[in-house]
Amino acid sequence: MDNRIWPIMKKEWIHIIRDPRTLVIALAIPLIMLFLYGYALTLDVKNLTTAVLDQDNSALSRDFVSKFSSSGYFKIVRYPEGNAEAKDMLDGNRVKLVINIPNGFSSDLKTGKSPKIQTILDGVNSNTAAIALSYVNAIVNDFNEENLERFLKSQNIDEKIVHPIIYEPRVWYNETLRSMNFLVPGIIVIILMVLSVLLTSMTIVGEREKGTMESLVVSPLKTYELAIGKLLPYVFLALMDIMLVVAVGSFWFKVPIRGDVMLLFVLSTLFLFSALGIGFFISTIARSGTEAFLIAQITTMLPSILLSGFVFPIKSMPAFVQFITHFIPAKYFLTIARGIFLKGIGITYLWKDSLALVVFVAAILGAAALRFKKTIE
Amino acid sequence: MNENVIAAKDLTKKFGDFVAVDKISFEIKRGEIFGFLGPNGAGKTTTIRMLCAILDQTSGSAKVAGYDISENPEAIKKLIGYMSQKFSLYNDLTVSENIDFFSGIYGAFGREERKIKEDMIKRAGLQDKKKILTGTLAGGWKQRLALICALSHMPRILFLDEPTAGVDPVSRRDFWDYIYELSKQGVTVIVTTHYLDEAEHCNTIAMMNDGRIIAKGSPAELKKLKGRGELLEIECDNVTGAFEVLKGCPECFDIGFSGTFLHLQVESIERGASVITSLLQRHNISIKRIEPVEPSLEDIFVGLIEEENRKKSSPITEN
Repeated sequence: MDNRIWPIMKKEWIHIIRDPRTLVIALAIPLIMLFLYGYALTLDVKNLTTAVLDQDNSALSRDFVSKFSSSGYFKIVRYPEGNAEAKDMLDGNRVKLVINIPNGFSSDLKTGKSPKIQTILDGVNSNTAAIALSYVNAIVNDFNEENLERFLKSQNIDEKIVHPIIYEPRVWYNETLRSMNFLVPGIIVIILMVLSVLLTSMTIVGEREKGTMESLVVSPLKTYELAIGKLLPYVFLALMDIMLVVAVGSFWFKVPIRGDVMLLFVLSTLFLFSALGIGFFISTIARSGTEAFLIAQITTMLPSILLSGFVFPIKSMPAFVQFITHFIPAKYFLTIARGIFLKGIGITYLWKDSLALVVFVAAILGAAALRFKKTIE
Repeated sequence: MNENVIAAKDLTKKFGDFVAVDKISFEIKRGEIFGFLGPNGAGKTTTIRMLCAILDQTSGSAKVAGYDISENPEAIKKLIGYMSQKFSLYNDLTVSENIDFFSGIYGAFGREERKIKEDMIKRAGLQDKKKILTGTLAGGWKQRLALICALSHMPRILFLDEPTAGVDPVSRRDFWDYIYELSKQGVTVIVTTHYLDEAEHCNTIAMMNDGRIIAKGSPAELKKLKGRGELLEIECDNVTGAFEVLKGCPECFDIGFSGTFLHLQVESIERGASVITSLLQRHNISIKRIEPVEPSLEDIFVGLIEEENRKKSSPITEN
C-alpha cells in the first residue's frame, strides 16, 4: 500500500470529525429522510373520507353502505341532508367521496327494477381517484353478485351460472400491496445517492477554497493517491449509512429482505462508488462550495428522485426521457435493491444492472481524474 | 557552491493570445536567494509554476536541479518545497497535524525527518502550540508553520510566493533570518514579491513587467542602473502645492512623493534645479533643500516600468 494515501485519509477524517455539519449530514439526514419519506410518501389509499347521503334508509341500503366502511378503504365521516350539502362537503375538502342512495333503493331492488346509485369522487389527485374508483367498482360488483346469488338460491337455480370463470388473483413479491415495501428500498437508494454526492462534492472545491490545492499540486502526490485518500473516509461513512438505513427499513418499517443481505451490501458499495464519483467529478468542475451544491442538486438529486423509477414508472415516460434514465445510476440500483429486498433474486437476474453500475463507476471516476488533472493548470 | 541549480532559456507561457511569460532566460545558483519582483500580473507566479513543474511551458526550456521541467516533473516535485501566499494550511487541523500531513504527502516519515521537524518546531517557538488549531494562530505564527510545512521534507530548492504578506515586521525579520540560514546551508530560495523592501533581502533580483525581465542584478547593482536622467529630492513648505506646480513642468519626466519630500527625474541636475527653483519661487513656495539623491529600488523600478510604457505608447515619435 502506498504510504502517501494514509496521511490524506487521516487528514480527511479529521476534517469530518471536527466539522459537526458533516456528521449531521452523514447521520441525521438519512434518518430524517427515511422517516419523512417513509411516513409521508404513501401511495396507498386508505380511510378515504366519505359522505353518505342515504335517502332510502332501509336495511338493504345500510347493508350496502357497511360494505364500504368495513373494507377499510373508506371512512364514513359525514351524513349530509341533501345534495347541496354533499356538494359543499366535496368543495370544502371535508370528504373525497359522496355515495348517494336514492329513495326507493330497497323496494326497487326487491322488485327487480335496477335502482341507480351515484358516487361522486374528488378527482383532483388523479392517482388516488383512480385507485379509489377501482375499490368502489369492486364493492359494487361484490354487492351485485351477493344479491344475484341470493336471488338464484331462492329460485333453486345452480349458482355456477354466476361464476362461469373461477378467478384466482395472486400478487407476488409484495403480497399485501403495501406501498411502504415498494418505497423504502427506493428511499434507501435516494438517501445513499444524495448523501454521497453531497459529501464528496465539497472535497476538491473545498481545497481550492481553502487555498491548499496549490500545496497538494506541487507535492509529488499522484492524482489517484489523492482521489483514493480523499474518498475512502467517505466510503466508510457511507457504508455506515447503508447499514443504518437498511436496518431501520427492515426493523422499523418491516420491509422484508428476502434476498442475500451480503449481495445487497456488495452492490450497495458499488452504487456508492458511482455516487461518490459523481460528487468527486462535480467537485472538480465547481468553482465554489455553493456552486458544487447547486450542481449536485440539479444534476443528481432531482433526476435520481424523478427519473430513477423511485415513484414514477420509467415505462410511462416519453422515449427521450426514458433515454436519459440510462445515465442515472440510481435507476440500476433501484432495480437491484427492490429485487433483493422484495423478490429475493440473486446476481443471475441482477447482473445486467450491476454491470451497468460498473461501467458507470469506471466512466465517472475516469472523467473526474481527467478533469482533476486539468484543474491543476 | 557555484553551480546553477536552475537554468531557464527563452521560457514562454501563453494563455490563448495572452503572453503571460515572454521568453525569459535566467540562471540561479546553489544557495542563492533569487527574487522575482514585479507588479501583479507581471508573470512572476506563472514563472514559478513552470519551475515547480505544475504548469507546462508553451516554448523554451528550463532545468531544475538538473531535471528538465517537461521531461521529469515528478523528480523535480520531490526536491522542491513550496510555500504559497495564503500559507496553504488547514485551519481545522492542529499545528502538528498540519506538519505531519505535509511531510506525509512527501513520504517523509523517517526518524531523521522526525528529528528535523522537532528541531524546526522548537526553533520557530511552536512547541507549546503543537496542539492548537491552526485557525486560531496569528499571521506570524501561521507563516512560520507554513514554512515548516514547506521544509519538512528537506527540499533542496524552496519556492516562496509572496511569503510575508500580512505578517508583522518582527516576524518578517525572523523569517528572513531563517531564510538566510537556509541559504547558507545550500538551500536555493526563489521568492516572488511586489514589496520592494522584501526584494532587498535577495542576492539577485529579476524585475518583471508584462511577462519580461526588464532588469536583473543584485540590489546594489540595480540601484546603480540609471534610468533616464538624474534624481532630485526637494524639501519645501508646501509639498502638495509644489507637486501640482511641477506636474506640468516639461523639464521633469517623472514626479512622485517620497515621504514628505518630492522626487523628480530630470535630464541634468544643474538645469533642472534652476528651472524648478525659479518655477516654485514664482508660485511662492519656498524651498528648504534641493539636492541630487541615490535612487531607491522603488525609484528604479517605477522608472523602468514607466520608460517601458512610454516606449510602448509612442513607438514612432521616439527618435
